[in-house]
Amino acid sequence: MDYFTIKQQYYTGNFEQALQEVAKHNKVQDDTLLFYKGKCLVALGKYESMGEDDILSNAFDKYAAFLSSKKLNELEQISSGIGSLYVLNLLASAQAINGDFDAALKTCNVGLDSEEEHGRSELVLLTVQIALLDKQYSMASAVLQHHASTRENYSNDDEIIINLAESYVNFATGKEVTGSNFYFYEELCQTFPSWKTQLGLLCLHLQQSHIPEAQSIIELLESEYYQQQAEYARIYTPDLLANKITLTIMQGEKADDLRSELRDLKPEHPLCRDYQANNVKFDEIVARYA
Amino acid sequence: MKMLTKFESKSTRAKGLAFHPSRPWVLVALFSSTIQLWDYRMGTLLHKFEDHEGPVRGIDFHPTQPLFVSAGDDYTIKVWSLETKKCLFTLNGHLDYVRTVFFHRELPWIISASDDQTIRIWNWQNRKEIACLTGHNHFVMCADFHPSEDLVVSASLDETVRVWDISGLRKKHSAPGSFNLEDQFSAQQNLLDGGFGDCVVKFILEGHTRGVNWASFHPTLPLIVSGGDDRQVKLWRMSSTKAWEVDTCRGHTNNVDSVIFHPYQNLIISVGEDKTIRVWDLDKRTPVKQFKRENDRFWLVRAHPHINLFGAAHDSGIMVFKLDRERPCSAISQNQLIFVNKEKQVQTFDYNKKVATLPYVSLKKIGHQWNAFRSISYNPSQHSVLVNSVDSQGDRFALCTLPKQPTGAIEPTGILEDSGSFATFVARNRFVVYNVSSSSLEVRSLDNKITKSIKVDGDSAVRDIVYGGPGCVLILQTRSVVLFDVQQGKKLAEIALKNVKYVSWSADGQFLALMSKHTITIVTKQLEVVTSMHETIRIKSAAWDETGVLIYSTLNHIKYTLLNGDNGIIKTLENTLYITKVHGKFVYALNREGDVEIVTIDPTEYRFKKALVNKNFPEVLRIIKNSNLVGQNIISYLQKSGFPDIALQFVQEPQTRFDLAIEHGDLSIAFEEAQKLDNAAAWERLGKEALAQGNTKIVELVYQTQKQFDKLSFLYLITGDSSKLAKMESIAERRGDISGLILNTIYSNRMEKRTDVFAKAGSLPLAYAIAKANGQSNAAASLLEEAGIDEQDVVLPDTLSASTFLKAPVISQPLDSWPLKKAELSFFEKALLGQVEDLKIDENVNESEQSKAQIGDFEDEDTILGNDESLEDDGGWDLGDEDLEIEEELNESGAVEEDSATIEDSQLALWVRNSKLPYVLVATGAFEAAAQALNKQAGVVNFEPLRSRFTDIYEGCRIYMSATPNELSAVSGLVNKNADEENASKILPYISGIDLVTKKMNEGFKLFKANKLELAIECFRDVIYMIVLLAVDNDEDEEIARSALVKAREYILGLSMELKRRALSADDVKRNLELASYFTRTKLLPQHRSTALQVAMSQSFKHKNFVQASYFAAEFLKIVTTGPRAEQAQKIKDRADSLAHDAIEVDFDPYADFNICASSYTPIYKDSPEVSDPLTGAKYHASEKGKIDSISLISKIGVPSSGLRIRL
Repeated sequence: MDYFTIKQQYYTGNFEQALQEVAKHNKVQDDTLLFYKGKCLVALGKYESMGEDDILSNAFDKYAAFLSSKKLNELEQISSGIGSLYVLNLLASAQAINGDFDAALKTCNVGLDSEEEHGRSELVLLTVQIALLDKQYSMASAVLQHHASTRENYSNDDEIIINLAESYVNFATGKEVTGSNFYFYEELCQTFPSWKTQLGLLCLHLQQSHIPEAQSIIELLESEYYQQQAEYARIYTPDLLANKITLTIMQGEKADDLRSELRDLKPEHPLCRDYQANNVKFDEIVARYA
Repeated sequence: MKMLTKFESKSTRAKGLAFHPSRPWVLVALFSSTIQLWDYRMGTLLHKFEDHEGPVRGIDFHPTQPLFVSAGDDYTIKVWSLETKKCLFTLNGHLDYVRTVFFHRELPWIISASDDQTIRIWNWQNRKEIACLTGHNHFVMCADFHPSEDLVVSASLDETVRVWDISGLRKKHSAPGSFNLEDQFSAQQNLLDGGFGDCVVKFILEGHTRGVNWASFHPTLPLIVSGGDDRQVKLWRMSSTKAWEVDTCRGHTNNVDSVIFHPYQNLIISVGEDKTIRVWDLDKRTPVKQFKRENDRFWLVRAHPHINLFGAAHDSGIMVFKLDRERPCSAISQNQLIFVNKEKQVQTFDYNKKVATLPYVSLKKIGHQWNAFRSISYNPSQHSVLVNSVDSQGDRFALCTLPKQPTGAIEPTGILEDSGSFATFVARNRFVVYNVSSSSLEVRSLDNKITKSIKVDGDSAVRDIVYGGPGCVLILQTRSVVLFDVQQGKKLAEIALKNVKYVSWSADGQFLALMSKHTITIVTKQLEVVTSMHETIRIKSAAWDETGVLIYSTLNHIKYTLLNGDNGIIKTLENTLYITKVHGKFVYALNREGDVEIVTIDPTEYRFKKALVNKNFPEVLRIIKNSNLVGQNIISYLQKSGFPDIALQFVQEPQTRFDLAIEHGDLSIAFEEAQKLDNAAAWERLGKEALAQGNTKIVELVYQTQKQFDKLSFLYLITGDSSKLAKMESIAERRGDISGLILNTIYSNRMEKRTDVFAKAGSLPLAYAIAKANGQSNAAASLLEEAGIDEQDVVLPDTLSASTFLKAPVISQPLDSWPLKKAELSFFEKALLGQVEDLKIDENVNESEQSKAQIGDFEDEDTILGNDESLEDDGGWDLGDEDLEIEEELNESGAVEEDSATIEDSQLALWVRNSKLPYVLVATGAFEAAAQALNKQAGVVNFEPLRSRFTDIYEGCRIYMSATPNELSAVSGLVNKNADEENASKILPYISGIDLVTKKMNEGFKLFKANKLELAIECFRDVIYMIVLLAVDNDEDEEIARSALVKAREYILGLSMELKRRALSADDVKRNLELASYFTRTKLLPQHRSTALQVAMSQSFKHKNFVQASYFAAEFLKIVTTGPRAEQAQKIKDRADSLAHDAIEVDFDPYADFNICASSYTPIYKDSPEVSDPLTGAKYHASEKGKIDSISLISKIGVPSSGLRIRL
C-alpha cells in the first residue's frame, strides 16, 4: 500500500489533510490506516470512537480515555500480550505522558525486539523521543542507529519518520544545527508549511541565534492565516509561546507576561516545570545569603 | 563552445559591417550600393544610406563622434553624419575600387586600401589626403591602424602582408603650430614621393602562397593574423626589429576572406568562401569550433569594440553572434549566492554582509577549456556544487565538494565527473541527472550510484532541468514545463509553454516565474497560470523580492511585475545584469564579468501598487507619508484602479483635485476646489453631482454663486422650501425678470400675484383669464373695467379651470439633504484618522519637561560607552590564585558535578566543563554554584533582585520542539554560543551580547533626558544586574561592560542625590545646594553633566551663592559653548562675578578632590577612612561597612572579594 502522502501530512502536522488522504483509501482497512486515522483524530481533539471491534480500535478508545483521565490501567489491560506495534506505541505514549519513562521505554523495547514490522518506524520515532525526554541522549541515537543499520531498505513511506526521529536527536544534542537538521526543517517548511514545521524551523533558527529569522516565523505564526487554523493553534501555541519566551529574552526584553500566558495555557509544559523548579531553587539561595 | 546567434539580416550580398561603439547598431555595406543601419537588439532596420554608385565594401563607425565612413567600387570614400543621415563629404583620390576603410582610434584619420595598389591616409577634419603608402604590387585588400602604436598592417594579392611605420606622419600632423609654408611644401613633396619618410615599410611578411585577403593586429600582443586565397590562416609575431611566421591554421576549404583575433580571449576567428566561420585556439593553433552556412559564402568578420559580440557578412546578409554564453552560473542558498566567476572559480557572496568571498576552487579543469558552464546546483549540507558543462562528446557534469573556507583558487580534490545532462540536487543526499539516450531521469546518491531511473515521457525534447522544490524538479521541455516529484516518481503538474529557459521561485515557494526569450509567465507552484507578459527586449533574469513582487531584467532594463500583471520599468541598465536576489531597495545581480553588482532601486512605486492591490491601506498611507511619490503616472494609475480618494492625497493642483473629488463623490473637497477654480464648468459639474447625491445645500450654493435663479427656484420648489421660494419671487420682481416672476408664482401657486404680473405687463386678457379661472371675481371685474370691455365680449376657452396641479408640501420643514445611508469610512480614511492620533502621541512623547534642558542630539550614545573614561579599577583583576580557589569550591559544592553526572556526556556537561563563569553556571541550571561564585567574586548577598536575571539566562538558551504525537511533552534543546562549533572544548551556552547592555544604557540615558529619574535609576540598576551575570569573549566587550558598570553606578548615585534634593523641604537651602553641587561631581556624560551643572548654577544663583554659581556657570560653559543656554549661563556668570560673594556656606569645595558617600551623600575627603563596594566600587564612609550597597542593592559594602569575572 502506498501511504506516502498520509505519512507526509501526518508527520508535518497537517492532520486534516492526512485524514483526507486516509479517506481516499476507503475501500481498504488495515492497521496502518487505522493508526493514522486515530492519531489524527486524537491530535485534532476530535476522537470519539472508531466504532470497530478490533484490538487497535479498542486501544485507541482506551488511549483517548486515558488522555482525559490519565489512568492507565484499562489501556494496559487491553495491550497486555498484544504484539501489534501500533498498540504498544499507544501504550508507551501514555506511559511517557504520565512521566513514567522507564516503563515507556520498556514497552518500546518489547515492540522493537519483536519480529513485527508494521509500525516499527513509528515506534522507533516514539522510543527516540522518550529517550530524549528522559535525557538518555546516547540511548536515543543508539536506537536510531540500530534501526538504520538493520533496516537499510525501509520504504519511501517511512523515510520521513526516520528523518524526523533523527532530527529530534540532532536537535536535543545540538548536532547538525547549521547543517542537515536545519535544511531538513527548511525543506519541510517549503513543502508542507504548517504550525508544526514552522515551529521546527523556528527552533533551528533559535538554535543558531538567528534572531530576525526567528522573529519573522513567530510573526508568521501569529498572523491571521495561522491563527485561523484554530485546531492547530490550540495544539501548538504552548510551544510557540515557550520559544517566544526564549527569543524575547535573547532580545533583552521581559518575558514575564508570556510566561504567565503559557502557565495559564499549559502548566505542565517543560518550561513551566523548569521555571517552578528554578524558583524553588532560587528561594533557597535567597534565604541562605540573606 | 556555443555560437549563439543574436540577430540576422536578410539582404543581398553583404561585404562589410561595423558595430556602433555604444548603441545596439550595426552598419551593413551591401554589394547593391546600399548601406543599412540596423538595431540588432530590436531587429529593426533604422535607415538606408544610398549615395554610392556600385558595391560598398568598407565601412566603419567613428569611435566617439556621430560619424561613419564608407568606401566602395566607385573609388570614393564617403563620410556620413549619423545625426542628419546625410553624406557630409566625399574623399576622392583612389584610382580603383576601395576595399576597406577604418577610422584611427584617436587621431582624425581614415585609412583606406585600394585596388590601385595604394593605402591612403586621410584627415577627415580638413578633408585632405595626408599620406599615400605605395609598395604593394597588386590590389591591397585590407589595411588598418594598430590599436595603440603608430603602425599599419596591410594585406595584398601580391601574397604579402606588410607592416608600416607611420610615426613620422603623426609627428608632422599632431603639431599643427609648426605648419609653415616650408612644411606644407615638403608635405606636398612627400605625398608626391608616395609618403616616403613619413610612412615606411617596416616588415614584409611573406609566406602565403596565394593572394592575402586580410590581416589584423592583435589588440595587445605583438601578433598579426592573416588569411588568404591559399585557404590558410597564418599567425605572425613581430619584435621591434623583425617579424616572423609562427604557425598556420589549416582547415578552410576555400579562400579565407577575413580573420581577426578575439578581443580578450586567446582565440582566432576566421571566415571564408567555404561558408564557414572557424574559431581557432591561439595558443595551440587548433580548431575549436566551426559554424557552417548552407549557401552563403562569408566575406567579413568583425568584433564589437566593447562587448562580446561578433558580426559576419555573407552572401545573403549578416549575422550577429556571440561565442559562448556570458551568464555566470549561480545558485542561491539561504543568504548566500554561489557563483562561478569569469575565471571559472567558485565564489560565494553573502547577501547580508554584502561581500564576496575569495574563490573556493578553480574549475578550469572541468569541461572544455573554451566552454562556459551551463549551470550549477548547490548542496548546502555537503557544501558541494554540481557543475553542468558541454564538451565535444556531449553533456557532462561534475560533483565538486568545496573546501570549508575559501582560501583562493585551489585545485579541487575528489571531483566526481560523469556524462549526463542537467545534474541538479533534489535533496541533501540525492541529485538527478538526465540521460538523453534513454530519455530518463536518474536519481543518484552523492557517490554517483543510480538509485532510481524514471522514464520521462512527453514528445518534446528536454531542454533543462531545474530545482522544483524539495524532492522535485522542473523539467523544461521545448513545448511544456513539468513539475516532477522525483521521490514518488510521478508528474505533479504540467503546463504548455514553449521554450522556457529560466525559472525563478518566490521566497515563499508559492509562485514561480517561467522565462523564455520574450515571455514571462507567472504560475503557482501547481503550475496554474497567474499572469503572463510579453517583452520585446530579451528577458534575462528575474528574482522575487521579499514581498512577492517579481523583479526582472531585460537586456537593458530592470522592471517589476505584480501578480496581477501590473508592471513597469524601474531602472535603465548600461550593461546586462542577471538578477539573483532582490531585497528592499537592493537588487543583487551578476554582471557578465562574473562580479556581483548591487543596484539600488526605488521600490516605492511597486510597493505602493502592491499595497493598493492588496488593499493594505496602512501601508499605502505609510508610503504616501514617507516618500515623495508624485506624478501624473501614479495619479492616473490610482484613478484607473479605482482609488480616486487615495489619489487625492497626492495632488495639490485644484483642477485635478476637483476631478478626483467628483469621481470619488467627495462633495466637500470638490466644493473647496471649485471655490478655488471658480469657473462655470466646475460649478456646473459640482451642481450636478451634488444634485445626484441629494445634497441640496451645495446645490443651492452652486446655483447661488452661478446666479442660476430658475434652477434655484425649482430647487426650492422640489425641496418644499416655500419661504425661500417667496424670496425668489421678490428677487425676480426686483430684477424685473417677468418670466422668472411668473414661474415663481406658478411654483408658489399665487394666482393673485400672477394676475397682477400679467396685468402690469400689459397682458390684460391673460390676467383676466387667470383671475376668472381662479375665482377672483373682484380682480376680474377691475381688469374688465381697466380694459373697458364687457364681460359678454370675452370668450374664454371651455377647458378653463382653476390650477390644481400644485400640491402643498407634505413636509413641514424644507428638505435640506436627501437622506443617504451614512457611508462607512474607507479603510484608507480610517487609517488616515488613526495616523493622526498616532502623530499626537508622538508629539507628547517629545514634549518632555526636561527637554528644555537639553543640548545637541543624544542619539549617538552608543559610542559613549567606548570613550576613554578611566575605569574605576580598584585593586586590579589578579586572578591567578582566585581561579584555583573557585574551582576548588565548586568541586566542594558538588552541585555542578552532580547535575552533569546524570546527564551523560551532554552539552550541559560541556558548558560547565568549558567555563565556570557565573553566567554559564546559571545557564546550566547550577544556580547554587553560581550564587556561591557571585558571593565570592563580588560580595553579592541579596539575590532577590537577580531572580529574573537567573531565570532569563536559564530560559534564554532553551528551546522546545513539539513532539510527535503532540500529547507528548515537548523535546527540549539547547542554544549554543556558536551553532556550528565542532570543538567540544569550546561549546558554551548562548550568550546575549554586549549590545543588550549598551541598549539598556541608552534606555537609561533616554529616561534621564526625559526627567524620569526613578525609572532611569531602575534601568541603570538593570544594567548592573546584567553585567553581574554576563559572559564576554573579547577584551573590547569586557571593557565596554566594565565601563558601563561604572557609568551605571555614577548615574544611580547622581540621580539618587537629585531625587533626594527634590524631596527636601524648601527651607533646607544648605543641603539643597550641597546635593546640587555633588550631583555635578558624578561622572555623567558631558551633555547630562551640563544639566546637573545648570541645576547647581541656578540653585546657587537663586540663593545668592554667587561665587559658586560663577564656578558652575564656568564649568557649564566648558561643555555648552553656544546657544540660548550658554548665553544664559554667561549672563549668570557675569552677574555672579560682579556680586562675588556667597550667602550660605556649604560643604562643597570645588577645588578639592573628594568622593561622595553613596549612602549619606556627603563628601569623603582624602585621608578620611572610606570603604568601597566589591561589586560597583561605590565609596562609603567607613561606618557603612557591612551594609548593603545602595547603588546595586545586592552586594555587601566592604567585604573582601576576588572581583567579578565575566570574561570567558
